[in-house]
Amino acid sequence: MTGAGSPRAGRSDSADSAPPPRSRGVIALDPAKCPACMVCARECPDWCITIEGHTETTPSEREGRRPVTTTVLDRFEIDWSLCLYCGICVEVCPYDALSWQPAFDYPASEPGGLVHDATRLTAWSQVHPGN
Amino acid sequence: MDADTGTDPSADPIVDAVRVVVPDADVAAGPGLVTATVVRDRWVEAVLALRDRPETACDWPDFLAASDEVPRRPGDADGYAVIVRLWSVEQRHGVALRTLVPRDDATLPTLTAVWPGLAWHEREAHDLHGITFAGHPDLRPLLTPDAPGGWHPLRKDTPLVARQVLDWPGAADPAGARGRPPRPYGADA
Repeated sequence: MTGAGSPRAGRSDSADSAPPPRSRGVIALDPAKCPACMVCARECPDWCITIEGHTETTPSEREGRRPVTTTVLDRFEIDWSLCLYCGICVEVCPYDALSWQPAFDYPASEPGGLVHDATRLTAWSQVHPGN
Repeated sequence: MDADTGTDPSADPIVDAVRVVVPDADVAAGPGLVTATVVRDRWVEAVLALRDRPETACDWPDFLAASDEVPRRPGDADGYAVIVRLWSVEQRHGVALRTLVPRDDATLPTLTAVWPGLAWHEREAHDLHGITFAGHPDLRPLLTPDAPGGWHPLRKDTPLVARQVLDWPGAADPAGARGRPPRPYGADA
């Protein structure tokens, strides 16, 4: 378990009940690393990841080369009401854009409240930045 | 050889005991679990022998469960496997007795006459895999809704309803890749 001074994840009644730093509480996104390659969404057995993106074409820096096409992430959502916490998405991500974080306390009171968008998923990466 | 303990599971004395008690069984020894497979007609007979013969004396039924065996290679089992794990309280050893029932005739004699406590286990196997236990006193659904024609969710040919009402999110193609990704089971073709 975590010792004194280690990051606390979510609400807990005592320091002893704080989960270990690498426990499977929530999955965080680093949007800067994600080129919307769709691997996680296609491997997810519960179909809980939704990704949208578009391609942008920029002229090549070098004369005579073809323009460079990159994919830009527009939308990344995980529906925690469907997720079974298997971690396949974290395993298969070729860009290490997804990581486990120990936060576990994110209830919702409205339908759809368990769908986290890219902003919320990115914020989870601050729980234990080393993951 | 069991990598964890450095011992050979087939050297376990229970393996030879099971071969003596149920001579027509196909016995396989794995780490921590000895499995004996018998044909369907010998199911009750094998259970009684494993319970009553002093070599095994497996007097306590741990659990009974079923599994849908889909062959992956030629020669693999094809049908519904029923497994009952028997344990000897006295000798502290156990054996998993297994049989295979065909898909078009998923029936097996009940073990409730041997151990009445297996009634719920057999009801559960009837719920989840649609196996009919001949002679069972009460095969009403225990866990699943009483759907007309039966609904057996752990049969591998049972449709996944959630996938029929959802669009597959993996169909999106932000990068405009050539070709189509392979579709998982349940996604629209």
